[in-house]
Amino acid sequence: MDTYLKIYRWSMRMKQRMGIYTVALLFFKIIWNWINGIFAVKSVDILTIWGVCLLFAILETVILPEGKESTVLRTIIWILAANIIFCSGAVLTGWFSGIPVWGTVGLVLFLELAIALMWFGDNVAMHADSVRLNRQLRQFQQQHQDKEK
Amino acid sequence: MEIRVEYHPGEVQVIVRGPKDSEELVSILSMLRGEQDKLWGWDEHRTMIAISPAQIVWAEMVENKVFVYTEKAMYQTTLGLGDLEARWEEKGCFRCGKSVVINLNAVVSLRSCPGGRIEARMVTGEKVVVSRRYAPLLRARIQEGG
Repeated sequence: MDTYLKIYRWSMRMKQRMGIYTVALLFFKIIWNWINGIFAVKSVDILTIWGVCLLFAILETVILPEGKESTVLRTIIWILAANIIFCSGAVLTGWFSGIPVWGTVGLVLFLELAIALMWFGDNVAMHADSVRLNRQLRQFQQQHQDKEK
Repeated sequence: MEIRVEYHPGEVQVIVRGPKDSEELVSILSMLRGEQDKLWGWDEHRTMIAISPAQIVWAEMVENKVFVYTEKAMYQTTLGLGDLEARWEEKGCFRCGKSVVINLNAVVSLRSCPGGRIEARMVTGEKVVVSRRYAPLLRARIQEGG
C-alpha cells in the first residue's frame, strides 16, 4: 500500500508538471505555425512535445525530489537540464524549424522566464504559504489547548 | 438480534451474548458503556479498546472499513468517517479527503504543494495529503481557530 501511495503521489506531481510544460510548448508551436500560415499541428509534433515534456518532468522529480530541500546545486542542475532538454528537443525534432534569430532569442528568453517563475512558485511562494499555514496551525492548536483547560 | 428483558429486583444488569468478532456486539457495547466521548475499536487480536478523541491521529477508510490510527496502534471501528468528523469536530477532527480524517491537533507541520494541495505531517511521521477540494476548508478551519 505504501509503495502504491508513493508511486501515485509521484505520478500525480509529475503529470501535473508535464501537463504545464506540454501546454506551454504546444502554445508556442501553434503560434509559430500560425506565423507560417499553418493552422494545424502535426500529430508527430504533439507526440514529440509530450515525450520531451514527460522526460523532463520525470527527470525533475529525480533532481528535485518532493520534500527535499532544493539546494543551489540541485537548482543549477535543474536549470541546466531544462535548457538542454527543451533546446535540444526543439533542434532535433524541428518544432520551430526556420525560425529567425529574434524568434530563437525570444523563445530562449521565455524558457528562462518560465524556469524562473517555476522556481519562484516552488521555492518562494509555496514556502511562504507553508510558513503561513504552520503559523495558523500553531494558533489553532494553542486555542484548542486553551479551550480544553 | 434477540432482545430479552427480565424484570428483577436489585441492581440493573445487562448481559450481552454474541460472537467475539461481531460488529453488532461492538456497537451495542459502545452504546451501553455510555462512553459518549470515546470511540470503540478493536485491534488485530480483536481486543476491544476505548479510544479517546485526543488519541486519534488520523483515520482512513479502506474497502468500506474504517481504521483509526493512534500514536502506537491501529484499530478498526464501526463508526464512519463522516460520523467521526461530525462527532469530534470540536476536538480537532477534520475530513481532508474522501477517505481520510485527520486530527488537527496531531499535525506537526503543513506544507503547501503544487496544485493547491496541502501535505500534513502527523506526529507518527506519516504524511497525509489534503486534497485540492478539502484544502480551502482546512485553510478556513485553522484560520477560524480551535
